[in-house]
Amino acid sequence: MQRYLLRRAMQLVPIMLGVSIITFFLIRLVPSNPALAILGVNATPDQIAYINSTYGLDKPIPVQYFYWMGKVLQFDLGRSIVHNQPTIELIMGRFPATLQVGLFAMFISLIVSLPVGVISAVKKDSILDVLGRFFAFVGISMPGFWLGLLLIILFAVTVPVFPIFGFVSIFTDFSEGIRHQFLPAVTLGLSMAAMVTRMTRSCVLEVLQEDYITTARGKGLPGTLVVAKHVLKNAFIPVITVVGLQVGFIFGGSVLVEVIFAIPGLGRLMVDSIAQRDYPVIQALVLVYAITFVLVNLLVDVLYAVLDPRIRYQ
Amino acid sequence: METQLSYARRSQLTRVLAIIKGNKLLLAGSLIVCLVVCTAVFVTIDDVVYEQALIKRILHSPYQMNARDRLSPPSAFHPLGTDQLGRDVLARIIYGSRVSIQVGLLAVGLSGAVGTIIGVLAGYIGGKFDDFVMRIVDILLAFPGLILAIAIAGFLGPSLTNVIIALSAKAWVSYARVMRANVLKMKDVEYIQAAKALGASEARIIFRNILPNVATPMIILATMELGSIIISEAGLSFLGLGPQPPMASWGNMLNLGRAHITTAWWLSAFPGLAIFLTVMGFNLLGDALADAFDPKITLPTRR
Repeated sequence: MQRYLLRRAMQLVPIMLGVSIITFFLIRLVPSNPALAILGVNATPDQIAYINSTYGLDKPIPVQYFYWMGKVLQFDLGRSIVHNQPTIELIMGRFPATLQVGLFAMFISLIVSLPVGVISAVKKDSILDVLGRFFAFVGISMPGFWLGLLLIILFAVTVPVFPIFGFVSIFTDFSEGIRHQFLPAVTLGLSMAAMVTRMTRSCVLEVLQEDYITTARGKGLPGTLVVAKHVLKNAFIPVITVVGLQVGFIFGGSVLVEVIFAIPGLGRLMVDSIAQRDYPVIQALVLVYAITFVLVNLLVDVLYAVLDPRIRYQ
Repeated sequence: METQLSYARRSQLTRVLAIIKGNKLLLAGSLIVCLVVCTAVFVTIDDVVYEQALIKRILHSPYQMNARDRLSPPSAFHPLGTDQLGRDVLARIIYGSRVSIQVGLLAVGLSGAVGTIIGVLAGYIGGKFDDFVMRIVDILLAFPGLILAIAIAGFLGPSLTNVIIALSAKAWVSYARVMRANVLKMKDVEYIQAAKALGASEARIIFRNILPNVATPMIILATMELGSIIISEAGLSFLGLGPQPPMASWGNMLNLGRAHITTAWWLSAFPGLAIFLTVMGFNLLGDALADAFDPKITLPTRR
């Protein structure tokens, strides 16, 4: 297990390196000179020279990269131009909101998708299966942010059960926190649930055809027990990987959802920073998103190896 | 060999036709896709050749503001209501189809072409080049979902072209992976070996023997990707990173809808419905094509 962990962690090194190079060059996509883009057209030569030297823009590009990378390794992701504070502080301040909504969304998606997927597979071709597949198909075709707007119209405007927007931390007021995050979490969670439902259904269907299931049935084990003891355990292993990948989907979707529901999270920070041309913040956010995503998937892989010892020896 | 090939092709065609005939979902998907594509073509002609004369005659101009008719709910005169400037929502939805279809086709075309070339070469050449390509693929996959596209569009500035670039930046990866896997599977097939032994050039093998055989998974993948590209484009436009007003796109209409959500539900409901139905059409078509051609085709998971 230790060797597997080490090998898996080593694989991350070139990926992280590549991620850092791409993130570094993103800022070069700005059509004008970065210093001008940051300061606006009325910048004085002194100001431009100042920006150039603070960001190392007057040095050759490889030198700039190593300069930037050196700082990143010390958790210095630059300073926000608009807020005039280290971007890492801004990001840490916004992280809890995104994390809360994201986890809540994941919870909702799993409590919906796992039962629906399993029932759909076990009762294949029944009316329940047709409904389950319909749900998955509609969910995949539905743009998440439109679902969010519809939910607001239905449950915040027409029948005002939930607040339209805003954010309350569950640590300051638990019930208000849940009430505020319910619609955003459903918005994000249902889009994700559709994909996990499909995956769960096909995994369960595959396991149901295995010989050991026939054996279990043959020895007279009741149907529900076969599913509970033999099917689920084996079918859920690949599902875990998909759930890990869905974290990326949640990150992307959360940008839209945070804008719709005015949640002060990372996504909102990203959109605001784009509007304000706060380029160092955008760059830092992309890096933080990618690193988090890579680490989550490392965690998922490790979990996978714990659950399925065969993986460790591949 | 020629006759055998055409025989194989014909039998596949009859199989596909039989499936289309018996498949209501596929039929529905094709109808929706046809309708949306025809609308987009109509809009392009109407806008470029007739300067919106046609749509004005049947409905209203998508750009004509009307101060007295602001935010009016759906009625016989304005079937889907008007927006905050008094513009007809239905006319704007019709005009918005052009952006979705344009971005969809161009982004899928660009990423499909780039991904296919890179994937086929990686699979065919193998070795160091393959390792290098797969590394880049892994690195791009480390950027979650829409984040990279949002950042690229944010840095480049809002425009239709930049949306296409931003969405293609990562989208080519799925084609490259699928094509590479297919080429690897085919490399050892006997007729490829035979072509090699006969002294066929590398280019001939790639163009005459390999590409025609990987065309099917490529078309299926492209159809499925169209749906998610259209959703992503709408998302970028919703964030203000797409084509700028007064140009109508379903995404920027939804953005307006959000601003007036407490008073004018039709501004949010209908443009979103248009996205939903269009994406559903492409997904139905993609699923059905995958079933018809190759039930075992492997497609990448959305991230």
